[in-house]
Amino acid sequence: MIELSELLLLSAVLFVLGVVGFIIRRNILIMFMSVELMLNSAGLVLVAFSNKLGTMDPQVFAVFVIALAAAEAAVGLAIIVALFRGRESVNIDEMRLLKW
Amino acid sequence: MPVQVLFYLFACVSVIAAFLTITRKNPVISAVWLVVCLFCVAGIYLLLGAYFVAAVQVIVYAGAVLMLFLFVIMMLNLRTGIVGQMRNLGIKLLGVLIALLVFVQLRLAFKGVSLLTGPELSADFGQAASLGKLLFSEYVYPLEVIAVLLLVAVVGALVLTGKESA
Repeated sequence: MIELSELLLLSAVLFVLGVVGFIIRRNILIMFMSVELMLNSAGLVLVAFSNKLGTMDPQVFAVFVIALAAAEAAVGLAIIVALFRGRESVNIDEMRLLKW
Repeated sequence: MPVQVLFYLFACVSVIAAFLTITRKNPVISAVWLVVCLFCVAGIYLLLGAYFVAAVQVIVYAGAVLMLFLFVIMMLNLRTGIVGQMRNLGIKLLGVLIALLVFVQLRLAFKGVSLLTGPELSADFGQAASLGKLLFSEYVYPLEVIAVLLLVAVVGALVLTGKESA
């Protein structure tokens, strides 16, 4: 049997790795992957509690989180492509103006 | 106990893969390590009996979303000079500090959770059929909202990358 505390520790570690990646990287693509890591760790918490409570409702929300991540990835990557067309760069430090 | 051993294996590999995802310079290699991490989390879902969610994780997340990432990375055709440098040391230290704070906060939040032992799971726990029944009865309105959200995302992506906005 997998302990609940171990699952929560694992998801906290994955979430924190996502936070670190989001802060220390300049490449907008890798910042985006860090967001995916954080969403993934949230899904892990949902499924862990689904198992420990014996109810399937959290799994429904885990599926919703995955669908949300897919929608977010489509729009986010479209924004990255549009930004890259204008700037020829994926460095977040060069994007400091709302309008240019 | 094999379940425990498998869990530790998946947990270690997923943490290492997540670490490599955020430290590699080349975004293609980062994306591949992210796929490894997502596969390991799908393995943990299987160990927890969430079979359908594990399948969705592999098909949608590791399959579709990460392929989208790889396609965009290849389409952008990044030159070696502009492939992501790290921020300077001060920002790195600040990032690790903020992350530690978040970690402590998460641990404190989880501390209040009593140690659930886990009840006996029903025979159809985590199966596609029982999840589908739940999705189309109790959660049918959220499901419709998610469907509209996906449509909006598709239209938004088309508008953003369409010829006029270029």
